[in-house]
Amino acid sequence: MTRWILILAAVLASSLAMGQDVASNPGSAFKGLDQDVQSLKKEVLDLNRELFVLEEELLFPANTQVAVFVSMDVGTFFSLDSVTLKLDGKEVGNYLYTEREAAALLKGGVQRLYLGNLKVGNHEMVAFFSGQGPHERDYRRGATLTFEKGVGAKYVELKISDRQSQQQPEFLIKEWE
Amino acid sequence: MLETPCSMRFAIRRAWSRPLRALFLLSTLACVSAAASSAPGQPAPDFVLRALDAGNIRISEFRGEVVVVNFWAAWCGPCQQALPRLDELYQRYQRAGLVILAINLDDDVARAQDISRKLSLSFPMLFDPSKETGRLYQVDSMPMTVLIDREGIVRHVHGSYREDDDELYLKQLRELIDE
Repeated sequence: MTRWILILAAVLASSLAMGQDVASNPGSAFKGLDQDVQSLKKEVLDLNRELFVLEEELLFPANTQVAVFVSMDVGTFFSLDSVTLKLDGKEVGNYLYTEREAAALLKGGVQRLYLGNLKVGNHEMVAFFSGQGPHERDYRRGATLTFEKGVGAKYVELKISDRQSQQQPEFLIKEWE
Repeated sequence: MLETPCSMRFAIRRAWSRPLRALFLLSTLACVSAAASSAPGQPAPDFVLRALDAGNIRISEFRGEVVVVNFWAAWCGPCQQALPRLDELYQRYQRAGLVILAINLDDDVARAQDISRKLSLSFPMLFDPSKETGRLYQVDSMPMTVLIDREGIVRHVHGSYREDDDELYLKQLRELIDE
């Protein structure tokens, strides 16, 4: 009997001792947990700030996009061979057209010749068109556009069409609004 | 431009370092895969070049045909032996869907044009003085002949020409045409 009482007492004592550890250090446990939460919160805030900066750095170039398209409305006066595109004096695009590609443009197709990024401000675009003009003679013409790049994508069309009045092809660069 | 404190710049650098490493690895792999793109089993790189008396020619427009691309130069003797042989093959199998494109890599286009006219070949003669297409196809010897199947996949690459090769060319071409 005495033995069972002693065993019971030992079990009770050990469980009390365990409870006392938690009870005696609740503050330290919570303090540790609170510190962990605070540091985690700080990391999240720091990361959020970094992502915001990165997002701006990524988004800004997207807003500087400029796209150049080629279209043809020509039947008689010009057979397109190639287009060369220069932006601010630097060649950015050069495309040779096969017979099939030129025919596709004639049927109403629009080709995206160039996609790039430009900073906000004034820029100059020059396009050179090569091909065969009236009387099957080699033909090379240029067209220039000076434009202001704002915030937002800029779309430009290089349009080749017939000018019936002068019996000559006409080359235009126009901005899409 | 936003000012960033040193710790943030460090954090940004740290945040970028892993994706930058990944991007570098991917680009390296892409370069390796692009460099190997003219190897058998790989899709034939697309190109468009000016042709002699025939406008501009883009190889991808011949998808569905068997295409033989032959790189040559005016200074290369075996090249000028190979071209008439290729012309015979072209005349025999053109109706079966064979296309042959000869690409000259000389700086002096005028000289290459003279030779082309003298050879009186039936297939298109293209000119690549900038050698961009040559680099795309990793031309490291001449003449180099690339056989491309109807799906646009490179099947055989020959880095030289000897008369003994005629039978091999014929055999490989017939296999591709019969596919």
